[in-house]
Amino acid sequence: MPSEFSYVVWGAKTPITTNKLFQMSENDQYAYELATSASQGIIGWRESTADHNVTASYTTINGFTLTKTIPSDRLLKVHFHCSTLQGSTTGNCRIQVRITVDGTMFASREADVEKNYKRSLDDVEAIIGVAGGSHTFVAETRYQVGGVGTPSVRADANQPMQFWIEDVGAFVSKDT
Amino acid sequence: MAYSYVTWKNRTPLSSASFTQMSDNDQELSDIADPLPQGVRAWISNPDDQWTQDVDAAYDQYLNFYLPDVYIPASRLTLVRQTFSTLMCSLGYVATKARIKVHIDGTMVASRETTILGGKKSSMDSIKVIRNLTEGLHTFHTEIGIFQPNGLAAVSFRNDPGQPGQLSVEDKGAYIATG
Repeated sequence: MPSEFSYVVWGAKTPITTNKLFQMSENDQYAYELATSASQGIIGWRESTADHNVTASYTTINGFTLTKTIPSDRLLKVHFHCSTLQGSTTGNCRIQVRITVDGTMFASREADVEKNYKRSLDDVEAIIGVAGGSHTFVAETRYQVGGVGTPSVRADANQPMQFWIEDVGAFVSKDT
Repeated sequence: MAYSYVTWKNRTPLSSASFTQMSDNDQELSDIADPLPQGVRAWISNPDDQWTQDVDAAYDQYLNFYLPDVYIPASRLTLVRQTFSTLMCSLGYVATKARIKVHIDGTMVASRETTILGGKKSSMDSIKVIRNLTEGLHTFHTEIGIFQPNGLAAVSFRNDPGQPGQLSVEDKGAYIATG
């Protein structure tokens, strides 16, 4: 990256010089590299306004699959948010929500939900770096114990569940 | 149009092509920068002590989480987020459900609810929602309430200067359709 931006002054009768033109090109290069390495924001998202019934095996939550072509050397934050977990009508249960990339889990949360209770589930989210190319991200859920009685991940038009991928900037290594 | 570094070596002649490329570069920079996330557009951090909400009381609106007249440009994705430190159900009561709602222009757009046992504290993750709002001024606010108690109940929605609740409105970049 160029060392720094430097404003180029063009006063009356300022001669056009190689140095000034060079600095203008350097300034453009500086701004270009800043802009392209910055966070690009949300690059994909899904929303559902319907409940999702939780079963014993993992199922994709209401179509929450996102396949995106990711440039190389980027960091992503993948995020699942829901309103509430609804417990079973017949007994206590444990509900797990996880996020996978290309079939491999990289983020998860679990919550025990008492019979007939409602529980807030903290968002499932993680930062991940992936190789450049196409990748598929999926939000899934299952119950681990005591799921008879149809526990669910709840949503409606006024409290949707959402799943999104955010570009959070150029790749940096994990700080060890 | 694509960005391309313009070289000005010694004796590089001034040319229409070079100046055109520099203008094209400026246009490309503008096109790249415009959709980038713009960060937090508005926020309020409330360090006031807890609010106690009794069962059967109307939902307590506004609190101090009230952001009127926030300008949102067209075709942007906006993330609205509300946090609270802790919820606590009064000692001696069995359990109740507590809910926090977030509204935009008077319409609920997000909520969270949870069951709290008597005498227990419970955390509730932040309430979030992404929206594509029309261009113009919008009002954001939060309300709280409790319902379906098992026994009489009151719930404290706790904040203090060291653990404030916050309502924020954040630009997450140019609008893209779901999928």
